[in-house]
Order: sequence, then C-alpha cells, then structure tokens
Amino acid sequence: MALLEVEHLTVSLPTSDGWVKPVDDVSFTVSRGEILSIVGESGCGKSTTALAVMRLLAENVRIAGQIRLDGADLLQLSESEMCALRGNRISMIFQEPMTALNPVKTIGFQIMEPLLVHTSMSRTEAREKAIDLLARVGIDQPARRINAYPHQLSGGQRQRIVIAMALACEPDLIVADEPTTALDTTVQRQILDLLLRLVSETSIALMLITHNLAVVSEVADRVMVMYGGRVTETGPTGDVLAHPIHPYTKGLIGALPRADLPPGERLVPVAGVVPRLADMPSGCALADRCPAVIDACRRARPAERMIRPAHQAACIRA
Amino acid sequence: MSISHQASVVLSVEDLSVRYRLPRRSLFAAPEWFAAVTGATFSVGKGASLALVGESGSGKSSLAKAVMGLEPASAGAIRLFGQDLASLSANELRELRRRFQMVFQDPYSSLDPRHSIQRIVIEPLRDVARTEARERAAEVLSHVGLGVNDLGKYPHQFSGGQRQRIAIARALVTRPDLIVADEPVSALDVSVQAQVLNLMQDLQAQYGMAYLFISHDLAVVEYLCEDVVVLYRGRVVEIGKTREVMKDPAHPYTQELVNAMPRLGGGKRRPAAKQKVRAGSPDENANATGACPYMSRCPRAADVCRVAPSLRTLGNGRSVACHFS
Repeated sequence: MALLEVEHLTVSLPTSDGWVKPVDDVSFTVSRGEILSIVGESGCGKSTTALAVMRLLAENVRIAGQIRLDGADLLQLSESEMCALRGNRISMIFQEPMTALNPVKTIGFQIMEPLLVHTSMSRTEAREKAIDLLARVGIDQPARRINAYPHQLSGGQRQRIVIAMALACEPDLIVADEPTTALDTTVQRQILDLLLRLVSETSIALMLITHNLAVVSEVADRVMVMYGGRVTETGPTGDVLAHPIHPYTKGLIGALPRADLPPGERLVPVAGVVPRLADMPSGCALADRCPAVIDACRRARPAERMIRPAHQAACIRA
Repeated sequence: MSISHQASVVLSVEDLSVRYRLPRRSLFAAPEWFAAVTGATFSVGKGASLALVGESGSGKSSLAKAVMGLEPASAGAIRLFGQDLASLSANELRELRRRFQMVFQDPYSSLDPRHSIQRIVIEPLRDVARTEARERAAEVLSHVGLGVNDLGKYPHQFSGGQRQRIAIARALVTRPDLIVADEPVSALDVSVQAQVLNLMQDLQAQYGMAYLFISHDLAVVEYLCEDVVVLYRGRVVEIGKTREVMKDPAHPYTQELVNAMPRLGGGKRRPAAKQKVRAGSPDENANATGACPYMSRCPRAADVCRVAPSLRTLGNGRSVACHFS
C-alpha cells in the first residue's frame, strides 16, 4: 500500500461565476522513499492539490474524495486530529522561505517548536535535536547559528531552516511547493541535492510541486502533469519526458529553451493561454488549445488510460 | 575599446561603476557605499543580442538601470550610439530615449492600470500626430499578436503574457535600435515564456534592433542571445559567445553556474555528498580589500587571488577575469 493515496479529489471554490473546480477528480499515490513531482503552469491546480492534502484550504471550500495517509482518510479527521498530524507526520516546505519563517523568533525556537508541540521532548533535548537538524541540512557551526534570526541568513540558508523544521518530527510525507523557485540557480542545485539526499537516507515520501520540468527531470521518480485542475499524464519521469503522450506535456517540453536545440530553432509551446476556471471546456480541458483536437474531444472528458507500463494519459488521441 | 567608435556599436559601457549610499552608522560617520557594479566594460553591436547573467546581487539590474540613464554612474562612461550619456541634457536624453527602450520584469507594475492600451503604447510618441500614432500603435500591437480592438482596453483585461506583449509593443513603437529587457520572461509561465521568446526573436529578425537582455536563466539566454556577459558581485568575470561559454566555461564561477543548471533528459541525479555551507553572506568586504570577489567560494583560490584579476582576452571574443584561465 502506498503511503499517500489520493482518490477522486475534487476541490470546489465559490466565486462570482458560481462554483469552480481548481482540482477536478484527481487521483494519485506517493510511496515511502519516492519523489512524486506535480507539474503544470499557474492555475493548473497543483498548489491547491498540495494544500488539500495538508488540509490548509479555506473554510468555504468544498473538498470531495479521499486522501488516505497509511489507510486513514485525512478528510474524516477533526481539525485537532489534523493539527496533531501537521508538522508531525506530514509537513510542508513553502516557496518563499522569508514568509514561512517568523522574523522575530530565532531559528532555533522555530525548529524546536514542532518538537515541543508534537513530542514529549524537554527543551534541552529539543535544542540538541535542533542543532543536529541544522547540521543535517548543511548549516555550518549549528550550535552557534541556532540563535540567529532569519534576516541574518541568506535565502538558501533560510530554505535550509524551513527544511530542518519540516524534518524535525521525522515525518512520513513532505509536501514541497516550489521549494527552489525563489532561489538562485547555484543555491537551487544545493537545495535539490539536499532534498535528494534526505529522501535517499530516510524513507520519506516527497511530493514536489514545481513548474520547472528540468528540476523534475533531475529529482523526481514519477511525474504527474496537471492542466485545468485535472491529471493529464502520469508516469515514470524518464519515460514521460522522453516519450510524452499528452499534447499538453509535449507543449510543456517544446516550450523549454534547451541546450540541445539547434541555433535558430523555434520553441513550440501550446498555443494560447490557460482559460479561466469558469471557462474551462466541458470535454477535454485542453480542447481549445490542442493541435490534435477532434470533435470527440469536446464531447466527453477523456479518462486516464494506461498507454505504456505505469504510464497513463488522459487523451483519446493517444 | 576601439570598436566603441565604430558606427556598428549601439551601446558601449566603459569601466562603469555604480554605487549606492548605505545608511550612516551614526550622525557624524562618513557615508559608506555599496559597490553594485565595479569596472564593467562591454559593448553591444547593431542588431546583436547580449545577455547579462548572474545571481541576485550580481549587479545586472543596476547595470541595466545605468544604461537607461535611470541610475547615475559613479565612474566610467556609457555611450549610446556614440554619445556619452552623462554629457546629455535632459532634453537631449529624452530625444535619444526613443532610440533605446526598456521592458521590465513585472508586467503588472510596469503598465499604468488607469491608462488604456492605446495611451500606454503611444505615450513614447509625443510629437507624432494622433492619427499616425494610432496607426503605429495598431501596427505594433498586431506584431505582438494583439488586435486593434485591444487599443481601448485596460491592463486588467489582459493576462500576464499579454501584458508583457503590450510592454514590448510600447518599447517597439518608437522603432528603437536597442531594447534593454530586464528579466522580461521570468514572471511568465513556460508556454507564455516560449511565446514571448519566439516573438522577441521574430521582431529582432524583422526590425534588426539590438537586445541587452538581463536574465538569471541560462537556458533562456542560450536560446535568445549570441553573446553573454557573466557578472559576479558587480564585476564582469567572463565574456564570450553564449554557446561557447556554456560548453566550456572558463571562469570558476561560470563553471559553477553552468553545472548548477538543471537539465532536461539527463536522468535522475544521484544525491551529491553532503556539503557544508558557510553561514552568513560571502565576503561582503572583498571589494574593500581588493581581493577576487569569488575567492571565498572558489575551489581554486590561492594566495594570488588576494589581488583581484583583471579581465584578460583569451581570443575568439572570450575574456575572463581569473588568474588561472
């Protein structure tokens, strides 16, 4: 059994256009020791999926389906039961480390906080554990740096602190939403290496949300591509990137400026722009932008089909 | 640089420094300065595309602002079409501005929300008759993939990618010889980014203007720009043909940057051995001590690096500021 099993997850949001579905019937699993990457452009539903798993969505949002962690449905838990899990068995890494950290508390306090809340550790034990965590995420002189404030650290170091906080209670699942997007390329490389090392050393399951396919290519075991709140393609990373099936995945890859493009070669992105959620076509969400569209695409929503081993796509033209 | 006097050069930056005043530590203390750019020299030829790359704090945006005349140079010279920017009066600068235009990173803050698209696009055409201005606006809008009926709309009616097209149309409307673009695609999604990059390439082929393109994304730079200037902490560390620099980076910092670039299709990385990172920011005072600014991060650092290397020409258009290359 996979650690996290999400089935038919649908998130409905009240807007002035009526109810819209930023996440529409999404199913996936993440196993221990696995890195699953959810990829797509803004508005495709990847962050909403992450927030739904963390149950951090606003009160007025309706969530349907099941999100099972080790078989227990998170959607059935009370808020206090969920609080006992968050930061403990499941934790989150956000994009912007400066806003994820409290500027008026030392980093030591912030790493110790989940330990003091979720475990029976004494302050001294928690402090020792925090120093240990700082060393694990690669902060030099951790015993000294533990008293530093976030503003005294660089962006990459702050993201390391956020990762140390997420690791504090030795979680089963970490949800990372664009963890390296705000960082410089060289720092991004260090943080990705750190995440890879942590997953390989432990049996943490990592759900990595990103818009960057090159990052996906280097770290993810499996990739799930989303468009218009729906899953368009899922499969082993190497297979999906080398042999994309869905026209949207092909468009994402074609849009990337790459070193192996011959000089003067044009990029071939999906035409047009992502429609507003309220204007999403009722059949295939990509129908209005797809180069391979036929009438049948507009009639019914395509189901996910297994095209190659472990590699599924929701496209009737595949 | 001798080529700066040739007619084929649109922009030449000579030994340029830009510095900012830091807040005084006390009322009576002497003001301290932060050197954002130190001794930068490069030039952009007619119809060429040059990229400035580097991490945050490398001085790329300060350099772009200095080139646009939005930030004064503390030393050195900027020549646009052979004229020294510092010697121009405000009127002369305004006159010259139509020949060099800027596109900013954030298309949400660079377009006035209260102005119609027509007003935004024709604003640089002060002395052109209204009907002609409108025709020119319609023409540039069609080149960026928008229509005449968009002229009466307002920025909030457009997506981020469309807004960036409008910003490009505004820059194009004076038919400039140089467009300075500061991270024009980094706020956009990949599909829209690709559409805007294709557009910038088509427009250059059609109008032959030069680009000074500022970016942190080497893949984008490699796609759009023939030449690249790599900046580190305000200093030029390497100049060369983009493809050659990417294939065989000479400066240790460029090597670090190129190696750090995530690549598609390379397969999953093995986690690297655990690295130790120094806490705090790297050598804030390197500029004060005169050492190579990259020294504290450099795997090849030696005693000789206590004196900052100057930019040396290696031939074939490549220059590097490193004692070891």
